[in-house]
Amino acid sequence: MRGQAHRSLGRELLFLPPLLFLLLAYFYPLLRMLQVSAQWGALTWPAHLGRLIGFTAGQALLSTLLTLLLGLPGAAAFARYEFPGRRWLGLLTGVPFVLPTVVVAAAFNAVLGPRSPLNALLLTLGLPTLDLRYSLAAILMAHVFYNLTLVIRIVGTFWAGLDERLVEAARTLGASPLRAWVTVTLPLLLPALGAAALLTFIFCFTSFGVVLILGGPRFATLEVEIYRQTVQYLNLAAAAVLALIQLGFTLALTLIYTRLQGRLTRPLDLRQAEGLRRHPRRGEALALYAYLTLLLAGIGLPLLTLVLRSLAEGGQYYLALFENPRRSLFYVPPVTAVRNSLSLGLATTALALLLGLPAALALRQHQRGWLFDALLMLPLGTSAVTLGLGYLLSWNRPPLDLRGSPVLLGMAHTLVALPFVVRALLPALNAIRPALHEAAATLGAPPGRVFWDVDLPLSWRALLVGALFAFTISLGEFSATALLTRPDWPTIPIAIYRFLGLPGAANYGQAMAMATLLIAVCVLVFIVSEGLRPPESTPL
Amino acid sequence: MPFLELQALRKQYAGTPLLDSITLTLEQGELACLLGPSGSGKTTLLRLIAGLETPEAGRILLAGEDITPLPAHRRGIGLMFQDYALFPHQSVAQNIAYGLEVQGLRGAALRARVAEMLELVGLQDFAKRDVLSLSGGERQRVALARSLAPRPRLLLLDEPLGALDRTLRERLLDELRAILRRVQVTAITVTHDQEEAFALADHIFILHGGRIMQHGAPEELYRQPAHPWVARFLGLNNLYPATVVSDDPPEVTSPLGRLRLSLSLPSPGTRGWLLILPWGVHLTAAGPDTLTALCETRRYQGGHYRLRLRTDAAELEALVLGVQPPALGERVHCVFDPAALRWLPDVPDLS
Amino acid sequence: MKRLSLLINFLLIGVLLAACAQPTASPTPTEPRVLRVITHSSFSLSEDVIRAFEQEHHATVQFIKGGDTGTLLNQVILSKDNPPADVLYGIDNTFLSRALAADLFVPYTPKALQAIPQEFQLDPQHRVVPVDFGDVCLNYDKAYFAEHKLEVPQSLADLTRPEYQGLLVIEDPSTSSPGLAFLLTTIATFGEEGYQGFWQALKANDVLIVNDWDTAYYTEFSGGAYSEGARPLVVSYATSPAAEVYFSEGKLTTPPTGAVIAPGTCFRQIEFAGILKNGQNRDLAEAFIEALLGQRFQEDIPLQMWVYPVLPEASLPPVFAEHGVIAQAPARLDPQAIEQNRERWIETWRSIMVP
Repeated sequence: MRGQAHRSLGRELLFLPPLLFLLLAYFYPLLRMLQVSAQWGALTWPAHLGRLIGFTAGQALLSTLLTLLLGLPGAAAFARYEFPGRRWLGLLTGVPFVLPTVVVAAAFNAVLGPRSPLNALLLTLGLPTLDLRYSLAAILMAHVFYNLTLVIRIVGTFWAGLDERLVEAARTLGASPLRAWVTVTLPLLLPALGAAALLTFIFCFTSFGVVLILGGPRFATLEVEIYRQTVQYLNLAAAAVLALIQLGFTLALTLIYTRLQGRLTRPLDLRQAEGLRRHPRRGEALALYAYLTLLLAGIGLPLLTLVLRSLAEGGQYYLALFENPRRSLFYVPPVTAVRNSLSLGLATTALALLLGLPAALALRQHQRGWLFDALLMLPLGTSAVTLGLGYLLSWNRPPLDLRGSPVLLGMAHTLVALPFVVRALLPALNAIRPALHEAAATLGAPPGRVFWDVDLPLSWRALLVGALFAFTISLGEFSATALLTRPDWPTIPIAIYRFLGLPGAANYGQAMAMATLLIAVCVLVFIVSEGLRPPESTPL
Repeated sequence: MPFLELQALRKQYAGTPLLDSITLTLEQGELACLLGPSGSGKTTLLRLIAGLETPEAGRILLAGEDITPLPAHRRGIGLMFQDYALFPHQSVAQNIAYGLEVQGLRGAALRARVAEMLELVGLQDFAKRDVLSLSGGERQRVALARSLAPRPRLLLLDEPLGALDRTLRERLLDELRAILRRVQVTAITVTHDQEEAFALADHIFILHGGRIMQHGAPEELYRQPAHPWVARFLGLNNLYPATVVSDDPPEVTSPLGRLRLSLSLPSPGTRGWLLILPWGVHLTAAGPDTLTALCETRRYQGGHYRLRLRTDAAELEALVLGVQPPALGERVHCVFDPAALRWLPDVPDLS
Repeated sequence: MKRLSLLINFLLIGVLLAACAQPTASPTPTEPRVLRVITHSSFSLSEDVIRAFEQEHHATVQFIKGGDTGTLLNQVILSKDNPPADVLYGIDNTFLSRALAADLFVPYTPKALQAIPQEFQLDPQHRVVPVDFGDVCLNYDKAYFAEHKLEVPQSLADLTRPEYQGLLVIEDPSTSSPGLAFLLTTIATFGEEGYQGFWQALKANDVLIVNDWDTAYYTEFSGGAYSEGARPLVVSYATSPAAEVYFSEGKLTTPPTGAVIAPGTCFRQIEFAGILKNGQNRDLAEAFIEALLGQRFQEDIPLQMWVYPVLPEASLPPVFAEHGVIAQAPARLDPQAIEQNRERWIETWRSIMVP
């Protein structure tokens, strides 16, 4: 029938912009790089390939489980309870995401190393000191530090919208609080949980900096080995094979998830009102505050050490940022770096939203959408080294010689930000009851209007979460940026790495100052976003 | 020209037919009802008319125009959902205003119409209320107001009273009918509740298994069910296989014996079904023409009793007034009022 | 040979003259041409120096930072036919052979090369020219050594002695340039037969291995101004002590650390620059190479990149003169040998040191 054909064509069209983007920004550079790699080097396997894959997957799995375990209470806390400092603590948990690995490593070393406050305490108690660095524990802790916010925000936003009456119904049927949670709340949370878990896993699976710096030479993931093969041995063929293995794993896992996702989502009556949080009851308060204290310590202490270090010598490092005593050509004025980082972040967010919204809408309850969904996630599971070089190899001929152009940089950032937007948005969109769309349609609203009046207001919080992730990812991105940007277009992470490349108190101090600046920018953006509200319907 | 015409609509899902060649017509201003048990296809039919589903075959004509290819938002057909589907992020007034905004209405005109609708459903003070804080009855009224506000050509109501408790349902039944009459909208409701259908509608279509079994005014249906299934669905259980023994005077033979009817019957020897409407079973003193039965169950229904009587050959349902009903196990004697006997053709019962 | 180089010189001078002649031949004012120079991420020069060059040649110099040396080289090799720049700076002797084998460069002999000592000119064909050098040496924490009354190690073998147990932190050669340099030092000093034994002894002596220089110096080393680690010996650069003074914001007048420059304990990293094939603006590229070896650039290098200029006449800034040291008899390995054996050496190292 004609009407139906119109409808399905419209929806299929929504796939086009993100698909086109993927083709240009991902598949083309990747395939070009793989093609070229085939001609360089020999197919030598690194020793213990099985162990390499096993460790990569194992630490990713452990990290994900740990993050989920520690993050779920956080999601519950922020979603359902009202407590002093809720806004600020929520903000804080999102900051680690933006920090370059080198900065996190420095902070962790202060908190975990032989001179940490904990060890000082142990020493006074006459106990042996704990050195947790260069261990699996350090890697796991850093991964949790980074990714906790994924669980808290994605799951928390979703959880906040669930109807408490469903749990109450279970309770009246005789279920204990735990049972009610496991049998009612948990299944309903699965779409959001799955999304957060998938993102965390892929992140940890392709982890490079954390494993390298905090784990030390004993630990290597596929990504580290790819880097080694590419940069040290120029054995691109082996690197390409490893990259494909890494990609294959990501694809397999993502496909499992996306196929399951269809079955996990259920239309729900998501609540919208903010004021549905309540103060914790007596029994709950102890657990809540214990957890919150742990959270504050775990996230806050490392960040605090950074800030304190930057403030050593009375804050003169901040002033030093504005000086260029050696008159270096590559001096990065902090204002420029901040401005560039902000504009790049905003551009990335805008583009990621522009592509992510149609993608999520097209994927919503689409029978064969799971394949495209998996494709969208692939960039996260692709070796940064491989892809970065691929970019330089593919967009390098006039009239499209984009090497060094911020356009290429924007493309690379958007590529990584896009999956976050889609993953954050999709569970929320799927949870909107189809009846609401139908009601709007029978009231005369064409599909575009239905989206604007029904979908957008009901999912704007998830949209905001996705946008914030996109922004923070862009803000803290280093490896692609280092490869693709020109020196006259520096970002804040580039400036940080520049300072850390040379010895001396001034360099280290300024690196910390820049890192603190990054944190400040991030916090500022979070604060601004808290004030954002959806467009008001006509007040009546 | 009929206002709404459905021509041979067919719908299936994964190979199973949901609706099998539905044809019906509706006049303007009529209040119709699609009545049937769950699984009969009535909601599917409603959604087809609304444009939320597309048929495999057939046409839908509204005021002569073929609206089959039109998407839902261009049909001008309102739909009141069973679970109301109110927009949770909007207030009562905003929900009601939605269809008007889409039409482009603004400002004072918009507000006036919303106020008119609020008054129509009796929720004048509820304009700024949050929909999630409303009770079931209030939500139903908001849903009604919302679907009526943009002056739809046709209004569809999916189980409008289904989610309400009994007393509320009784009250709203009258209100709903009054409102629909007042607004003079052509409407189709869908329900499984026969009482609701009879109270609301001028014209009822009884659906079963994707087919229209019978349609007509409520009295017609009750008075002369065309099919044993319809009879049972309407709660008329005194159905017995019977054979015509004489067409003048009209008499049949059945498990209850030889009975006389007051309608014309087909030629003797024709097999079919005898239907005895419950009010036609009278309890008397024992006599030559009476049938003896045992009173098996007795159910009080507020003013009258519904009795189940058993003879050697069959069961019988009777309605008696609430004064001195027979006791359980008591032997009673009954006669049948010929005016309460019906003849149904020989088709499989389907029950 | 001599005749060939004379001929080349003649030709090049001719080309130079022709290039210089061009602007006067066409007096119409044109847009400044753009010279693209790709470097590794540690590259730095003073603004004045570059501006002077730009003005002199009516050109704009556009720098591209290509990541670390390995990534830089990868990039350029892979896009050989359509290179991202006209001039490449930043190949060091550990990557030299690979770069030359990939046939990336156009040979060019700048005039200034004559003033550069032969020991730096590792490419007789002048496909690349040396620009600066730095010595990767052990650094030690003076305060620690004084406090514990320790002798500064004078040879690599010393590091395996019990008094230095648990005091050394080094970088992984597969992910760090100074780390690789240190490994090569041990191979040069102990030879193929002996280096494995050395490393095993070092491992038994509780050496700490981290992934890169940042972590080693700032996190594990105890000596730097902001370093907070516990280990007083680290593999760093000979210029690091001087840098500590310079970047102390006036607080330090003597370095808190020292560099071990005893024979056979350091590795000399020489950095090269070359003109890329298929690049543009050949004349500008040549002028840039020439300028790199000129006194102005050479004297600018120390403070910007904390390495030494190859030009002997270049005067050093005060902090270098006072606190800078150069290794005596640094370890050297043939670039060809490095290229051929690099992977095997690193993998052998890993099999010993990384359980």
